[in-house]
Amino acid sequence: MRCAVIMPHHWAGGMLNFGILLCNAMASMKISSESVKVSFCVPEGYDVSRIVNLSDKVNLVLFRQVQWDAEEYNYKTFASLKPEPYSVSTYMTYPEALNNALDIILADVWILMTGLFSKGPIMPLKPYIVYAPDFIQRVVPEIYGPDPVSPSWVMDAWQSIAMQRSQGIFVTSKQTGRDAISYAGVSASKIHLLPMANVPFFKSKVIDSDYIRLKSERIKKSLSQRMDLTSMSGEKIKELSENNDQKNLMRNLIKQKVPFFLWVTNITQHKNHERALEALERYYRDEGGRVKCVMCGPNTQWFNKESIYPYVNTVYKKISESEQLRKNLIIVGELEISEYQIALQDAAFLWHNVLYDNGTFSVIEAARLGTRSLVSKYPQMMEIVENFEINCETFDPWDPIDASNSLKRMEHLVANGEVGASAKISDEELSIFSERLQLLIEMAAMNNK
Amino acid sequence: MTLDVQGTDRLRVACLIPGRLTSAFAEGLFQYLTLLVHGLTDNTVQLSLVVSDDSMSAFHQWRNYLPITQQANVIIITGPNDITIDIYEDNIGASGKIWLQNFDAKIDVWLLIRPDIASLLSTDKPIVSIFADFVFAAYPTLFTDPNYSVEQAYRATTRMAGVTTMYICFSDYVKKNHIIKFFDIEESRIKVVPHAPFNYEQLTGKVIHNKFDAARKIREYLKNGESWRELDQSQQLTEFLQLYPFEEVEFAFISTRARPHKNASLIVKAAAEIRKTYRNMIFIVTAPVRWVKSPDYFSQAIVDAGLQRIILSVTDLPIDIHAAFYKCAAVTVHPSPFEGGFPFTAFESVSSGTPILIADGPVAREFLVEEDRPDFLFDPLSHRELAKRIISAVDNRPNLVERQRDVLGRFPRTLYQNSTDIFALCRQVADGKPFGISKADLGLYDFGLGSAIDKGAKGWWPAEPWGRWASENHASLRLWFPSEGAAVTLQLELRCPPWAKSRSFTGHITIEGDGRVYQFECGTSVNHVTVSIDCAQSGTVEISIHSHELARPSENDPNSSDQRALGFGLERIRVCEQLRSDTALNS
Repeated sequence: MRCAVIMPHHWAGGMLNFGILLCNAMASMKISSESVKVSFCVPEGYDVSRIVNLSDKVNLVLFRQVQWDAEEYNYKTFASLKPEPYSVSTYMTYPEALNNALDIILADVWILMTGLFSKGPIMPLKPYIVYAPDFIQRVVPEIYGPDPVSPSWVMDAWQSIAMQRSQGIFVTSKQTGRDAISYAGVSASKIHLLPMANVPFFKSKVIDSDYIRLKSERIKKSLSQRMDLTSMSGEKIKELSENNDQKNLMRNLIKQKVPFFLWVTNITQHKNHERALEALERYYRDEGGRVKCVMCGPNTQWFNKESIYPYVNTVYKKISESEQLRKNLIIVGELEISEYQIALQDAAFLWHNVLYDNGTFSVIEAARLGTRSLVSKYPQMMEIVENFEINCETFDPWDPIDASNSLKRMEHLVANGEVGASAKISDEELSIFSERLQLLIEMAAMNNK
Repeated sequence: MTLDVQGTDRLRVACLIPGRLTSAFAEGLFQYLTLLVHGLTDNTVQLSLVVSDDSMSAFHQWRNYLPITQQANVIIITGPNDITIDIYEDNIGASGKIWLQNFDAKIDVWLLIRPDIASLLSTDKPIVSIFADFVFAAYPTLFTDPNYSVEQAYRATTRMAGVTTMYICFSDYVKKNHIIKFFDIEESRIKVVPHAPFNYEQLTGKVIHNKFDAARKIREYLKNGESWRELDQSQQLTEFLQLYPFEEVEFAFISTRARPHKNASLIVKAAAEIRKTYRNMIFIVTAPVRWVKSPDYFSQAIVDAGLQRIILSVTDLPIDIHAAFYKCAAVTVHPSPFEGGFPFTAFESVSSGTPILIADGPVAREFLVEEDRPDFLFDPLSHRELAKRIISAVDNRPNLVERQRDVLGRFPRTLYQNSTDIFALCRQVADGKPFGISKADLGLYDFGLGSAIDKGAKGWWPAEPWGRWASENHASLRLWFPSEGAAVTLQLELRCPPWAKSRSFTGHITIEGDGRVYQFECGTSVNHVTVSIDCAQSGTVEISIHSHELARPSENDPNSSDQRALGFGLERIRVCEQLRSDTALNS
């Protein structure tokens, strides 16, 4: 049995880790008493140094997306396919391995890490299953822009067709499964729910109750002293911002035990920045909010200056035009994992303000470090909260007033020493994940004629 | 053109369907015709649909969906474009006139599907007109659709009111507020025939066993790709929809056009509101949606809200596939607060087992008693209420549809009654004289101000107290002669323009159905002449006065500011018993 795990984009981070997780899980499978030969196929030009912890048993293959042409395919592969019109779509694509690798052609099953291919729906040369991480664009179409026939939207539609023609779709949340039915138009019988096996960071680190008690007392004390926060912010923030040294400011906050909450985000629109900023402004201006906000995450430092990207610029302007935000919001960009862990551990709470995605594990990470979270309420996130039994507070991400009130409520909680958090993580999830994945691959392989 | 006329008792009804209709399923009109024909249970009516050449294939397609027995009752005929397309004017060319004359001879009555078809102003047959509504009367200021001329429609409706014998409408509201109030048409000429409930599946003649069966039928149909779609949109949606699991997805069905007054943009706002709740609901509309080129307001709203993959359009659905969509839908929404009658969508949806939400409006209220309204009606201005109601209707689907079925089951009429009533009215009208034309009883008929001889008289300047001047070389008027009447003599009192004493004027008169030409002259010594004509025709007879030349008052009188070109004037007509056969002037 040969399987090709195909990742068509230059992803790093969570998606890459998930790809590695898939490959490693499959490499240790036996199907019909036979080992599974796994190839991890990444796009041409991919920085393979990012790939760590990939099992030695897994082949690493580069490929490029090629527009489907039956004659060309037959010529290159010595296949004798008839140029059948497999699809009414104008274009179709297939993954062509580089360096004469035969891994993709010889595979019994393809596992696509997404249905998003740029040159058309995938040509069903092999039975394939598709991972559907999320359908953010269903709820936040802004991420693909306003033009309904832009390449992003076209690719999205092709993804739907690819999913409809697949042997199965696997998802890690019920809501994403429901999206796959209603939005991608896949029959429910093809949807398979796998446990959330993306292993969170800091798995080994568990905070004891003494730490939480001490942290609680510290924050309580800080807030009850009505300390002069302006001396640490205001002009200082502005100055540091100009010096592009907001990370130092954050470090100072941590050093001087000034309470802050951590907003982990990136620069895409589903992260709900505009409403979040409105809520923050209201929190500081109308609610007299006293806990500072530290925003971190990939490329978020772009929000500190004017940008050629309209959305980034909109967020920048909103921040720069608000005195309250200039005084209280610190944007530090992406943090090294160790520094992120320190910040998360030291934060009064984590603020997760997202309109829609497949949910975030940063809330689990926070809980394991003893930091409570204020979480926007959407189905996938609630599934995570429920699955991992996380004690967090929630708010409506569409409503900045509710968000602002919730921030104030959070402030009261931490001022009253209620900062503790917990999450329950089971090691069984990974084995259940592997079992279900194996069933799925077996089922798909049966259709390889 | 050959009409299949079998038996003299058969009422021959001609129905003019104007415009260029390329799909048999794009307009509610087809649904109305379907219901009308389904109500016919015997062979007492022969319905001839007169359509434009461009509409022929659509109507043949429509007829193919009728049961075989009823197909025989319907004939589809091409009419000339100056009758079927240019409907707001009666500028029918010579060939059009001949066509109409010939066609009139083969029918008993016209049943018009709208009241503004002025191209039929000069028909000789009586007219019954369906007056569904006059949207402008409901929304006098709200909408300005560049494709629709209110003035033209208003003028044409007003002119047709002079020759239409009876009107049929579907609600008291339209009768009072549109027809009477807006057009000042007498109440006695209006019959309200409210829509009757029907079972949609029975109407289609095809059994849909369940949702799965319905979804399979839909997918099979969509594989033929017959829904209209832009090319760019097709790339994304055509194949996608062919594989779409309609039976598994919660969707709201909206069977409507996207004309501005249909309030379809409320659906867009409600869909955006529901999206915020994360509910996995989609919306299927029958209106075409454009993403790229000149989007209409509805399409634009969809694109602006990024809902193009949530609000999906399937257009031109054949009746059985339309019914299949109802069967699969979780709920139906009728967003327009104004319709001429209780919406068909309610009967279609509820009989398919799907509840409907209807925008609150005067006509819907007319048919729903107060305690039943909360189950059906929503505030047409509140997308938030609609969003909540959609979710609530889906969550309480079985109970709601059961209650709605009870309510619609209490509607008093049946399709059979409606068709019978409408065609009985046609028969009654067919037996009488056309409206707006005087019956030629013995006596004197003034043609001046206030005259009602023939409201459709053509080729005349506006009436003056004494009579009317011809404005063209050929001016005409009509009289209606009962078939049982005896032969009469018509005495036409004509005037020559009085300022032309020094010259003579000649003309001649022709009578429809009479091959003779009645010539006359006046001017040099007298300025008026009476022409007597023996007449033995029956039915509507056109009398044409041909002025061989026209004169302007300003030509002879430099002080006159009257620049009109005038032919002979007609003062009055006397109808008297026929005295002798040699009164006619020689031909």
